[in-house]
Amino acid sequence: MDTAASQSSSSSIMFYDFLDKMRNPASLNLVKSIKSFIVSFQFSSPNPENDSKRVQEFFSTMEAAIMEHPLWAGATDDEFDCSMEGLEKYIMTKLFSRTFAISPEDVKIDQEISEKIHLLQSFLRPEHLDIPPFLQNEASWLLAEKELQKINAFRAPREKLHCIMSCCRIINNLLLNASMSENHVLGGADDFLPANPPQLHSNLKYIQLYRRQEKMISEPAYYFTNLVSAKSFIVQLDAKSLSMDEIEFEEGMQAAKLDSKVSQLEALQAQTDPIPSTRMHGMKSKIDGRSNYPYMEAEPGELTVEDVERLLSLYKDVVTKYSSLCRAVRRPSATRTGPSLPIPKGRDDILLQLEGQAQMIREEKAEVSNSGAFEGRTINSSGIAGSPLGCSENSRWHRRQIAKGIAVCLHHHATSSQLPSQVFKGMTPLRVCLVTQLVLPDVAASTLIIACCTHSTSSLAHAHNIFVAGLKFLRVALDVNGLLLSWIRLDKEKRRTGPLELTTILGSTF
Amino acid sequence: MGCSSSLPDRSTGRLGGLNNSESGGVADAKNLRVKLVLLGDSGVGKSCIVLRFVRGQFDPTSKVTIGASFLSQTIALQDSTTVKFEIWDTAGQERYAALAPLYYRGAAVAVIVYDITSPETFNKAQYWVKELQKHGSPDIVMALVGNKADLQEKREVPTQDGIDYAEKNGMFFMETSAKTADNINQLFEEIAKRLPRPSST
Repeated sequence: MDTAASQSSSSSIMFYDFLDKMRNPASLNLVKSIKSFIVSFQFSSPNPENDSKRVQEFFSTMEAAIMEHPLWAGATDDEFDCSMEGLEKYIMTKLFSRTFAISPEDVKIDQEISEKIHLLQSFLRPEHLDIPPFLQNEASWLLAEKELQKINAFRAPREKLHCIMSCCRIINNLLLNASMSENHVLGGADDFLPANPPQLHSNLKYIQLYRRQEKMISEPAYYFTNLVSAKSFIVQLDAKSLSMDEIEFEEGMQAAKLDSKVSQLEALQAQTDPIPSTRMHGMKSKIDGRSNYPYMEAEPGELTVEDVERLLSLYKDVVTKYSSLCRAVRRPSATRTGPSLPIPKGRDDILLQLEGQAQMIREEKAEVSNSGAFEGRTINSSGIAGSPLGCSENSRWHRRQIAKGIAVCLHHHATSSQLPSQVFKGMTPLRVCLVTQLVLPDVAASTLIIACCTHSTSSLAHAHNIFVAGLKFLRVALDVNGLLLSWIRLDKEKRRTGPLELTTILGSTF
Repeated sequence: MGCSSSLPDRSTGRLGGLNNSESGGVADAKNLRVKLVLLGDSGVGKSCIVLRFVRGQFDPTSKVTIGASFLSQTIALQDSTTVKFEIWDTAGQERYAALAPLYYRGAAVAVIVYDITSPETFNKAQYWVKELQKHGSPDIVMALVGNKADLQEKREVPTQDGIDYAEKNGMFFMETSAKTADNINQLFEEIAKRLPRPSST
């Protein structure tokens, strides 16, 4: 197999050969024209189409000059071709920064495509393109992907093109090896873009414009077209292009967008935007694992259109809350580095405990990820499946952040009783309860927080009820898998006790 | 300058300059290089036709895909010229229809395939003919091919319909069977004969 690596080594040989020839005093006139072309080009203002024409014309002129040149007298076609490849590489390497992704529109398109691929990757599955299961061998795709990713490691159009060819050939081989029925064949490789190579559009445009035109034929041109068509397919892609209904597609895109927005927010340490006020759900809903999450037992076939609508709005709600919580958690973290507030006595311990808790959660990450059964299931049982929290990686990080956030809130609580409620604004008490239970070892502290959060009534009794209900809910989660126990700080032997005992243990503290 | 046939690319560049790569044929009076694009609904047997032509194989389970591969085959004609077909297969599914222009752009030949047992594929073939008439290169050679001719008992598109439609649109028509190899080589030979020859000799 012709990999990009082997190509590049052969190409560097021909490149050095070209440079050698250029060092020969006899080629001085050629060197002069090359240099003057590069200089004049660099001083002109960029215009991709025009630039391409100039470069291609220069290649032709040089081709003629080299053909007539005494240094190449008696050269074989191959040698001659090598020199032309060397010339292309030399010129385009020199002009790369002047020609590659030069227009703002291209940069924008690159970004849009990259974003779209990124979004699609989060929910698009091979079956949506009717790619049969036996072709869904990810390891092989990965190999092809790696070849394509190399495209940005090269500057010469020829080498970039070779990356595409290597990628396509691997896919080709993959299809060749897989036994398949003819009906499945055609869609598979043509349009499955395995990777998300940065600057895909610019790379394709660059190759198109600056690869020597007489080389853009036959097999390379075919593979190049495959990638161009894959790119166009992605740009135009909507539900109709997929074996997927429109709602599902839109939902997938929305979810992916929100998800990436949330991570952007997190990455940017989103500043002090006011927390969007969201309705308080859940206060009125029955607090019971089953009735509160009626879809837990549902099968896809049983869902009606109304159900889907309701689920979608629930989903959006959860996502919104998640986003605002993230922001809220960020905010105290940010102010924390400011002038330090006096830390009230007694809270220090809690803070320390919570820091330790966060550490513990970090450590347990490994433990948890060892147990496949845990992944996703607890999350499901807490009714937030499909939200960004559904991603176990995210959720662990998230919990850690909450732990931190709560610690800070408790700290601030001494000076402002508003903060905890700010943090949890828009969350259902049940959710608050669950979150605090997950991160707070101290039941009393949880109750305190919940008391601050329940706007309708600040009565501790009410908070207590919610908390107990939360425990009930927690038990459901525990029933699903006992691993949730590890999120709650218990002694080793207590960890081994069943969910019922746990309830008793926690309940007795009231 | 020895014009070696192993490097037709180079001669293209020398003779034709920039625009030549866009056209499907290569201007070498003796040895033509031709870009041929296959169009047609999914499952009509486009790939099987190519496979039969290039490798002489037919595999009903089609272990080998050419959906994403590039195949070429050179045939020698009686007048001692050769034609190298560079065959660009396309995906037949509807979802990829919009991408077809990328593939047929600059093609010298378009082979439009339907399945004689399926009227829908015949309709689709007519769609492709119209599309090529609108957007293909004006001097493109078009061939209409009714494949799966071995399935006579399941035939639903009468031969005459194919003939009539092809005639009306100035196309060349043939029924083939990739399974029995019937008319496969003839198809490509007929296409080769119909190619416009470079005027300079």
